[in-house]
Amino acid sequence: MKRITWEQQKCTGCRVCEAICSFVKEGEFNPVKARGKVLHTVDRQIRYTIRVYCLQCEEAYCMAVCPASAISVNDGIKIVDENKCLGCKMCEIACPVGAIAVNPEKGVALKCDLCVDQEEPQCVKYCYSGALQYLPSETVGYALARTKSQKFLDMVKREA
Amino acid sequence: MSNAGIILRVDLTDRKVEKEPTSSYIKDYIGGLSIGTKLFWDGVPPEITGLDPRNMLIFSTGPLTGTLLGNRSVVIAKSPLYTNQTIGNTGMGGQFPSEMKFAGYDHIVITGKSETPVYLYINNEEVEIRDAKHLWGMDVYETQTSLKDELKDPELQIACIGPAGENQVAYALILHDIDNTASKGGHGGVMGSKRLKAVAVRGTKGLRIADPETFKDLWQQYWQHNVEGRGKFGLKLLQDIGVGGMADAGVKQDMAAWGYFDSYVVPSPKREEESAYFVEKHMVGSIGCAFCPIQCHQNCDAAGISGGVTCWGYAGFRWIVKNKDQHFWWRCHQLCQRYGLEINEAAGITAWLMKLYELGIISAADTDGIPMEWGSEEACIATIEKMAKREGFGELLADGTIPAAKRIGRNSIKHAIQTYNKQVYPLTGMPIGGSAGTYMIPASSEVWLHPPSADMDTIYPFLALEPGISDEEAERITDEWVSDHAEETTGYRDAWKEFSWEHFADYAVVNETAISACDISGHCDWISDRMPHIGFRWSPQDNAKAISAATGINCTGEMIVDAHKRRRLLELTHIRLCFHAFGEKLELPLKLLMPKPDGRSKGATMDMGKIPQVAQRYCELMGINPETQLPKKEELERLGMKDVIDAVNNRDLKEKIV
Repeated sequence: MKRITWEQQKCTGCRVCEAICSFVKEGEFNPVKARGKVLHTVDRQIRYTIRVYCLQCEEAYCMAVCPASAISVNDGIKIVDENKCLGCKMCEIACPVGAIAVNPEKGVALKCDLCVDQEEPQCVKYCYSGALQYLPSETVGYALARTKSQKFLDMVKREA
Repeated sequence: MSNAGIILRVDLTDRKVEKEPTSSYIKDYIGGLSIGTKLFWDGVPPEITGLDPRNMLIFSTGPLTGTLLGNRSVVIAKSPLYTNQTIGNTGMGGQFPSEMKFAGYDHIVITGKSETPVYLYINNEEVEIRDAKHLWGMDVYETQTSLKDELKDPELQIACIGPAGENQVAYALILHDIDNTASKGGHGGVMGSKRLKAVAVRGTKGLRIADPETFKDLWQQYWQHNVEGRGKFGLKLLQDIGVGGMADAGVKQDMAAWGYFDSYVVPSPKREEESAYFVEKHMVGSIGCAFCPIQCHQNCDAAGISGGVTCWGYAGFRWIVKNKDQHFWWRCHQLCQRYGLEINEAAGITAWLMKLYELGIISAADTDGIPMEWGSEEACIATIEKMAKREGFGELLADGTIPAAKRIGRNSIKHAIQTYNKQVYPLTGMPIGGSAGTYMIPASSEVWLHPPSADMDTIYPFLALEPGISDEEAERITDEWVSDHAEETTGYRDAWKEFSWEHFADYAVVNETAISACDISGHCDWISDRMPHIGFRWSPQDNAKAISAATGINCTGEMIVDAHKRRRLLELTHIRLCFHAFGEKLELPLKLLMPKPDGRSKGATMDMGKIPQVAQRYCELMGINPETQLPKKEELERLGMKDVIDAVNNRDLKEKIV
């Protein structure tokens, strides 16, 4: 399967991913309904951005705790069946990263399904800074090692 | 749909909150700046000053604000700064405008004056005027942190004023987040005069899109052109070094005023004096408006002082006060932000004082014992402090250049480089060139003070910053892009050129309409037809298509052009009436009308004789009678604005609308 990776150093905090998510999934612009959330924290006039989104846990607590068996697995992606969802909010409590919330209007869980019905997750498609990537699980390690070693490489090259 | 649907009216005198539907204004005025100007026209008499409690402070968003194709607001009020207290509008982005829409409001109209300091708290339907005594006196950053902590809501979006606004300084600004500001025209002073410290908004409602398929197609077209296509390079540059890069380019092109417009050649500029160098050394991240991939503000942390900078911020307290030290500039910049003071106004006035000091017109005795020496950081910091607090000689300066010159006397006005009591931006050498023609028509918005030809000069070598593109190649490409746009819109390829007088007004109207269309829709006017020279395109027609798709209400390019005309005619009529009510004559910045003393454009001067021709053509295009400077009756009738005819003709004004 493929995964979404997010690199904090590259992220500009623009929130395009949030907007496109609620638009594609709910037909409206509303950060509250975006599956992935972009959190800004300003400290001493410096903006820090953290993106909170579903990491598709291997052992998914949301799925384990769901009393209605509304969450199923398809090629590693945990998908909510809105027809089965009770809106009990157990998944909200169980999620270790804070990436699930219940849609305040529809009363069903809002959870990332990696845009299974599209060619790629739309948040990744429109991530201008390249902070979000959609990579095969087995290459994630190398991709991250490559980016994060860049600084070290630059340093080594300067010294050479 | 993507209009939130409600205009929120807050009366601070009677502590009343009212909500009214936006719908009745949409047909003629569409949204944003146009509806805001209509609300202003209906509520604010020309006879009052900007600091009068009857003045309105209006935050206007457009139908696209809060979507992927828009995030901006316009703040409108009678300006306490501009000559004859005319209307001023100034844009503000960030997260605040979108949050306003998510809370359910297209416009927030604030009138009256509270007896004690208050802030406005908006949480969806809940709207409260709350006590702000504990916030009064705080700077803009402390205010936001305190409110978020106190209300235990880190997602609040807050627009607020600092001490300069509290003290009703005529060039105080409203600041949101780190450095999104409504800066030009003294709207912070208006907010302070109402004893309104802050507006804090939290919204959780969505904006539904009427035709998601079409909207997504438009978003993709926008993305393909501006992000991946022609705009790609400009976009990257804006994000990496922002408009600071243009500031550097301006210095190389001899456009930066060195020492209050005495010279346009910065002596031996060094690499470490460039904005790009500062940004490279000290940038810790990008900041900007919601849902925009560009994030064109630079978040910098230098020697223990952190904050954001973009655009105008790069010019103030640098060459104009004969300073080349970037850290000196940064300290002044951040101090202005903290106090909520517009930096170019503060810097321009400071530089003017330095000029007066050099000429012996003033001495240290006039400035509380501080010698106003060129390049003195002590003088700059002291002036900022005193302006913001209205202390000592700061009181003298707090209403802008012309009132200060009147208080100082000694012919000091002769040396002031201002237009409409607003200091001239020190980076483009304005108003030499085509822009001069616009002086015939009283201006209010930055549109007139920042015409396309002036922009062009600075931006010419912009593309040349890209490795592998020579100066000549950059000029050729830019010329081609802008000429394409000019031809498409006016029929004349040369219309945009600085000394192409013949069709200058045509292109000025195109440019003004492009900016206005964005301010109406909520789209950013930077990534639009206003900026073809950076490769960006987003026309009034594109705005119209996006508004139709988003709202489900039919909107065409012609409707946007008419909505712009309606708001512009209201604005100009209001200005005309303000000029009549207050009767102050415009003081032209004579020094700027002289031939340029040095640099690449040495000897360039303005052909005063051409001004009437440009003004005449502008009037013709906009439906204005050049003799009376009032709109023509037939144009107002065509636009369905008969009420304006009566409102003007019933006044004690010699000229009538005919």
